[in-house]
Amino acid sequence: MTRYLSIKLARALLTMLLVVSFAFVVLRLAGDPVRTMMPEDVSPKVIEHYRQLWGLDRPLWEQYLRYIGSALRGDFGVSFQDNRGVVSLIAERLPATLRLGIPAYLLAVVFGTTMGIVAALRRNSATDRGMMTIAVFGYAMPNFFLGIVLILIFSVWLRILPSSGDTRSSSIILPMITLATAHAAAIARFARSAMLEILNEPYMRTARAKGLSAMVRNLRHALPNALVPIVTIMGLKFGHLVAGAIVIETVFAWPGVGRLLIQSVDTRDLAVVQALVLMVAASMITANFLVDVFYGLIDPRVRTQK
Amino acid sequence: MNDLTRTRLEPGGRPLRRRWLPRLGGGGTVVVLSTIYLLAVVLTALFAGWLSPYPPTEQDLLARLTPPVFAGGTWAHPLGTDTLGRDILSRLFHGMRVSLSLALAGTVIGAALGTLLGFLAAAIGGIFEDVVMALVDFQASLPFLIIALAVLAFLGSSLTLFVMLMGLYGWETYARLSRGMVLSAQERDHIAAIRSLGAKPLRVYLRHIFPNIAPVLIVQLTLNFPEIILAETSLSFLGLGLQPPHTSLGMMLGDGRDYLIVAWWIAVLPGMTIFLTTLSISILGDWVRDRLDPKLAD
Repeated sequence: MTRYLSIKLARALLTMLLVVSFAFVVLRLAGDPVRTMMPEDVSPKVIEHYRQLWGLDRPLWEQYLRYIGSALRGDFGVSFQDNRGVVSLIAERLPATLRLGIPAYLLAVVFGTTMGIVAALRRNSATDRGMMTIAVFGYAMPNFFLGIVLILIFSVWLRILPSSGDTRSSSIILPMITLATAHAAAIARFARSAMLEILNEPYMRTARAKGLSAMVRNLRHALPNALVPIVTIMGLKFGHLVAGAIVIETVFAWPGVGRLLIQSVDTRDLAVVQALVLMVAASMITANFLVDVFYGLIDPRVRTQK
Repeated sequence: MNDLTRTRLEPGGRPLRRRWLPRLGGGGTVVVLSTIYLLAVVLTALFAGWLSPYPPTEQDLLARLTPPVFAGGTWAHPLGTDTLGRDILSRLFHGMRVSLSLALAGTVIGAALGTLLGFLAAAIGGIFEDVVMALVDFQASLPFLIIALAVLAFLGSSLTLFVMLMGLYGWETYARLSRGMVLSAQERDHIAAIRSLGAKPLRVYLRHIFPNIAPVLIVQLTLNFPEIILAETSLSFLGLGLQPPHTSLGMMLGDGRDYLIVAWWIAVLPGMTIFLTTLSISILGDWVRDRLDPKLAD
């Protein structure tokens, strides 16, 4: 188990290092930040001053090491736009994203797994087909379009829910449904096929042969085994919380980090973009690592293989 | 000898076309409808220039915000006009063309790149394989939208860069799939037999291993294609994808978002087009998957 965990941990750290290096390389490719920020006719003396101040006159490898050092200390610089620390800027916006993302995630997990498992147990029935039709629709529907349709129906035509912003307690309903739909559909499809695979296992036939009731077979034999892949996809989806919020927050003018990211890309506020990219990557890598740990804990086969 | 006969009889051992063509019969109404819709979309995209009643960027300020014909408009603009009086139908046709070409380019580049790297990783092994797999992990650890936003923020938006970005979408899935399948195919007896008969590595990989794993890659293509359409339209919707004067379906939807109250059709029509396209591809993809891989069918 220790060996398994240390391999997984090393992989996670290596991936994080790759992401940080990616951000560094892309940042360098973007050109000299001093020239981008200063007016055209600024004197070379001023440019030199800032280049020295920000360490841009040093050799590239030294810049790289310094950059990694400050990333490790959690120092991501200041926003070009309003000269505030990037970390506090993000910290201010993060609660709104989580307040929207976590309930949407829970909604998606509950609905998705239930639909998938029920569909698998009633395989090829009208229930199965109905649920999978809904899932295919939810999966193929672009979430920004779903958001717009919901705004059109509930805000413009029926006038019962607010269309944008975070001003009332009911403001969260439409963005939450929109965000949950695509995830729920993906989880439902995945849960169904995971469950079907287990139901085809020989030990399920054995359980039936020894006369266990359908209830016991499904709850005690099939479900725990099917949960392994289902929990995996749930972990991976959790990492997608922030990414999924980008589009939704823009559609509904929700004041979270997703919108901050889009605004920063628009204004080319590179420090903010970079910090957000690293944040999303870190959360996804952590989620993947935790899924691996969980896998190792519940499935002995995983941790003994090379 | 026994092994050889068995391999010959295995469905996976036969060339691809003989394996799945006979099974192409059947399929429900939904599949037929999806096929018809997709054919119409492809033809429209191909002949957008001839079919469009107006140039997609032509403004007619006297006919701003005309509703579609079924909502009180006129046949002059069958699907209405937007805030600048541009004809929605013409813009839809051109938008389809742009969105489909981008998605097609992205899918082909991604599939080719990923499959090639997967094959090379399995064939060469060693450090090369480790590097490829580390890159796969890297790609999988960042949602595509985030990578795309970072690149567009730092490097600015251009058509070439945008196509390259679309090509990056999903390459890691092909790499992972093909590496895994090549590794296990190499262990099979009939491959060892072909090798011992003196076949060169290139021939073994292209003629004997590739046809065997192609069905799985094709299934992956059908999953990948709608996702790329969604990725491209999302970026264009956010205003960070293609820039005017290009017209993309996502861009039209983004423009229409601010006019929902006065002119719902500006956003809803391109939205429906995207939705029906991805839906049809998904339905068709599921159907193809069931034909190609009976194990996955139910």
